[in-house]
Amino acid sequence: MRDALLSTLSAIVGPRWVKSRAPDLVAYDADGLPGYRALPNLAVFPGTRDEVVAVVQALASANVAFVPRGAGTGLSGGALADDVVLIGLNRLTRILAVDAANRVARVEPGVVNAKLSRAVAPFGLQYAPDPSSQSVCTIGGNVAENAGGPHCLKYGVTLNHIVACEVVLPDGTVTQLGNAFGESDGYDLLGLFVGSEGCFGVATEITVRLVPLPDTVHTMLADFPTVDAAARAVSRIVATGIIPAALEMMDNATIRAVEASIYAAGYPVDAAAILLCEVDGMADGLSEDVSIIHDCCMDAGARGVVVATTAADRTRLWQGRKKAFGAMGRIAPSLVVQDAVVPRTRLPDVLATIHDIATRHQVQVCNVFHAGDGNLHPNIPYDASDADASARVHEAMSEIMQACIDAGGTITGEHGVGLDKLPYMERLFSAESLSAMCGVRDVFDPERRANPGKVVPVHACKEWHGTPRSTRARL
Amino acid sequence: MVRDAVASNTMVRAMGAGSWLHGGPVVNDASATAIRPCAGVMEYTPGDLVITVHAGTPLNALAAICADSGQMLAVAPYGAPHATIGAVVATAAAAPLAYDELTIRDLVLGLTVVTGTGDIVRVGGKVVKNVAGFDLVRLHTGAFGTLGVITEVSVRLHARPIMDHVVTGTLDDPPPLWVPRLLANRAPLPMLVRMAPGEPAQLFARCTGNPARASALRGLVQSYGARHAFTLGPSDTLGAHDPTAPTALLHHVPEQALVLRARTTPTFGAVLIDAAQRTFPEATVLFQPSRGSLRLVTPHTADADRRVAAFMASAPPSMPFSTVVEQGASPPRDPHALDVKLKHTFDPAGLFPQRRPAYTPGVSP
Repeated sequence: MRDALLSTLSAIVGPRWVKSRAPDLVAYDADGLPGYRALPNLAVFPGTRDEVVAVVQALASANVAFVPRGAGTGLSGGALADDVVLIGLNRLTRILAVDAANRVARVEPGVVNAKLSRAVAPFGLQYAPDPSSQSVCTIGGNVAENAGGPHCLKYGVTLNHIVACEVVLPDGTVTQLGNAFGESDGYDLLGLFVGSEGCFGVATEITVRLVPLPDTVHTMLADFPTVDAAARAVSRIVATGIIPAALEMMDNATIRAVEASIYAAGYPVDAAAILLCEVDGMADGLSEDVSIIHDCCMDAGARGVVVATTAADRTRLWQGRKKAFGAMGRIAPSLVVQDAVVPRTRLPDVLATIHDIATRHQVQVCNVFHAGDGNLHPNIPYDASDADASARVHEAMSEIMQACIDAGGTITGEHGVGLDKLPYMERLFSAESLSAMCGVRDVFDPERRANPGKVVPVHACKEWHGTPRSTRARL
Repeated sequence: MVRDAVASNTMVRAMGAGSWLHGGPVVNDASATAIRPCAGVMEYTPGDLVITVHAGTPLNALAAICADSGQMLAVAPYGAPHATIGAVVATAAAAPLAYDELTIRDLVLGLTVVTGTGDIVRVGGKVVKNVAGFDLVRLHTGAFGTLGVITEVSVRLHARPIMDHVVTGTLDDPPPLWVPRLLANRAPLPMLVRMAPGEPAQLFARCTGNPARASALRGLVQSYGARHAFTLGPSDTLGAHDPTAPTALLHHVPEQALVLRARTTPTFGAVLIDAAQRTFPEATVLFQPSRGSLRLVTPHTADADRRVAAFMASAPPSMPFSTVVEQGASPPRDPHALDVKLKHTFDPAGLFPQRRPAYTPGVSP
């Protein structure tokens, strides 16, 4: 069976682009979250849209499960292909068309996020979603995860910037979802597809919305003696009606990690927390916004607010933020990068709870997050080879997730469920709600061959509880 | 009630204020049991800029509650001010001059829906970012109640900006001249052009922000060729529906009118306007330049289906173009194959409204 499939796939993409030996497959045994590892059975790398379609059709004919994968920078274990076929889309890297006048671009799924923004910059445009991994992550992966990023506070997440996708469904059918310049009178299938984590099929062509580059940008760094004061400043800023382009918070542990690394940005190492706040847009009125935000920070208890005066200063401030996860690599060999969202007013008490949980489990938490959205990233550096440390990290993460749920929040704001958040889904959703998700999955993929075992814990669905134990294996 | 209906195999339809959508994209079976969701606030913490309400809450009541905390819903949809939030979500109702050009789809964070299997499904949440599980919020928003009855809605709010007003002025030259000017706009300036028979085209622009920015935006409106420009009242969910406000004429939807939405690439905007005005010379056309979309409101006639088909056929082949009927005619297209499967998944017994059959020229509906 495996040999026959290998032969079929090789005939489609060429033998060079099918990997079957363990030493070749090991490069694909994890994504950006190193706590999960699993080898694919085969890995296939189509080079054209037609090859993607042919590969998916071949897998459908053979009734074989598959996992689509972009750059593998996901942070939920979602791109792991555990003994199934991995479809790598990183060879589809063409920007097919840029329509600057109408502010859209048509791209293949393997186009790197930052490359797209660089390509459209000469037209005075940008692709706004900017996940921290934007220098390597792909638009296809961003679509699968509904990726966010610091500037999503003002500009919106990936979903707000995708206007159409050509998709090959798991049964090999090619269909168009959305319409770049069309009104849609049916169900929002494109909205369903974006963020479906590869469970509904493979995007072969994506049309994105572009937005004008801002005329002016001001980046501010506010320095706080307590995390509480920084959280209060966030509430004050949001309540003014100003929508910053970004509003990011870093706690002391993160500041120290960044400042000790090659990404040192000049952050004050004695601050309990800093806020990185950016406003952008037309020049008129922007200085007034800066002044209002300055006052909000000072009124909330900031020790000071500085405004970057040059482009180099601005880049330096952002580099520290965007490379913070990398900087944490100096603390310990492994890092759990977490993702949850809480109502903004609950930030202070949830951060305090996270601190208590970390103390109790004797783990170090580094918080770096999208404060304006209430989107937390509590990260724990640890040594994965230490079983006791791993167990404590696992327990701490579980309690942090529960604290976010108890605060009225959710378990993921931009990283997706994948494998990592699967155990928490039934804490968040009822069996009926999970069954509804399973029902939608079955519309796209009745055989559940696309990214099997991810996103929805089947055992928690209503149907599972109503099914005799002897028949559960089929689910 | 929905669960009872499911148990007894009774047809049901969700109903808001019942204020519009006569002959919309779904069949409103008069014999079906009408269910009106409750009204009222369930949870509102102003600092979170999120409110959760029962689906039957009228927009004007919602707006008044939010205004007390200096907040607003970013959209003031077409139609009556007492339209319910549940209906706005169910129909994904469009809105003129929305703050930051947002749509209701951008604002809905979570829903509770009773499906055709009698399940109470809670999807999404109460926070502004959320990718936990498949996005069933998007599925139910704009589903016209065909998949279930929306009973609770959580929506994102915005703090009211310091300045928020509408500037209007006339555009005296023809659309091929002003469309490119408006399309070149790079500022945060939601705009709409109203074209009524026998009247000059009138540009409306929503200027928001601090006083310096609002003033600069007013200057931009004049630089786009708007003559006799003057400032109207606010365009948020409270001010826009004030019947005495000059912007009220943008929101009004006559009960039996034919209402279409059409869209093309923004650079083809003038061609689309021309096609609409040739086919429907008596229509009022509202054109949104940044989207290349128009909304057309015209008195209903018995041959509405044929006229919509003629409009669709009138576009030049080189122009990407699509049309949606909001009310008064049949849908111009058959549903996507996946739509049919989704309908069956959520409403296996067909208890909720069905989509109207698409119009086929030469075949009586």
